[in-house]
Amino acid sequence: MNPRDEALGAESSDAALLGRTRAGDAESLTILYRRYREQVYSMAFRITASSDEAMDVVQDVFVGLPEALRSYDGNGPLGAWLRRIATRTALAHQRGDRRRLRRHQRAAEDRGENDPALAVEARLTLERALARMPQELRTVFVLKEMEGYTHGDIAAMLGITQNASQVRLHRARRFLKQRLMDRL
Amino acid sequence: MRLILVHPSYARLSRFADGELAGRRHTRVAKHLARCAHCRDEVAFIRRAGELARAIPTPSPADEILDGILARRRSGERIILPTTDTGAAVRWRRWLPTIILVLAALIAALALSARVFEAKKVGLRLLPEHPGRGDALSVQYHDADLFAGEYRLRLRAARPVLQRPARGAGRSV
Repeated sequence: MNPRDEALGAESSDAALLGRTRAGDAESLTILYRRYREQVYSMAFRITASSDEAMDVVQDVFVGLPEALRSYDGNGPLGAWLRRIATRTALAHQRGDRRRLRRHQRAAEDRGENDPALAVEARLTLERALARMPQELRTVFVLKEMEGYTHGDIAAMLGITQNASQVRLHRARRFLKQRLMDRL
Repeated sequence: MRLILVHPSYARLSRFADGELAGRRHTRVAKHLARCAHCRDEVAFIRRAGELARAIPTPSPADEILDGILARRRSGERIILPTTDTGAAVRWRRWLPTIILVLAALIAALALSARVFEAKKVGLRLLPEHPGRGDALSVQYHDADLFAGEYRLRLRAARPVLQRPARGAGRSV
């Protein structure tokens, strides 16, 4: 971050930044990006299980942010609002990508070889299983287990009933159980 | 050793692990777990998988992404992001073909019944019923078409069309 950004970022509240970003100010957008990129990327990565797709989602979210902010009413933290948008955008990406399954598997396997942070065998095993999980099950598992959304929130985001969300979560867990058995 | 005949369903164990059971249901599952190692393992697995999933680190996005974002903004690119949940809309879309089918069936049934009803009314009516020479004659008829209106046709008879039959005589035209 350059010194000007740092100065701006340190003294600017989200509210002040939002106004300037809405008006198309690139510096404010840059500060918001640096503040929230981890959250947006993390959500996108978990939903898509692909670093390439997650990058695309992050780009799209921040390219569209100035216009999207017009519908942000300030109720609730900006980070939570952005994570929901990242989720919906990631899901939209998923719907448009028919080759996703192979890419997910490759992404998880590549990370296992290269990322020392994933040295813990159980975690890596779980991540690989998650990458192989059918997308509709993984989305619910990620939103519920990893992001802490309620079944009501998940139902609203995915356009399914709460009961369907619960059923998908149970199926996701059974999927993991069948593949991991005694390995966790 | 006690024999356990009925285990809670996986869905119930799953909800128990999430803390979503309350009251008697929670107590019943807790009691069952106290004496069933198999179900205890299931719940432990669910919780362990959740803990591990939450601990999966996510790599940071590369810094170059920002350059791409700013370049796309500068080029005038705009993206409409999904800022609202489309849940209800998606649910509606899923049911839309069924709704259309049911509506089409209803309309078809309505049209058919109306046609049958209207068909009973098809026919000609002369006004006056027994016109004399030089009388203006109205021919009124009903169409069986559901959406057709009523047509009126005015004719003038050049000669008597119908003569009132004489009492006791046959009808002549």
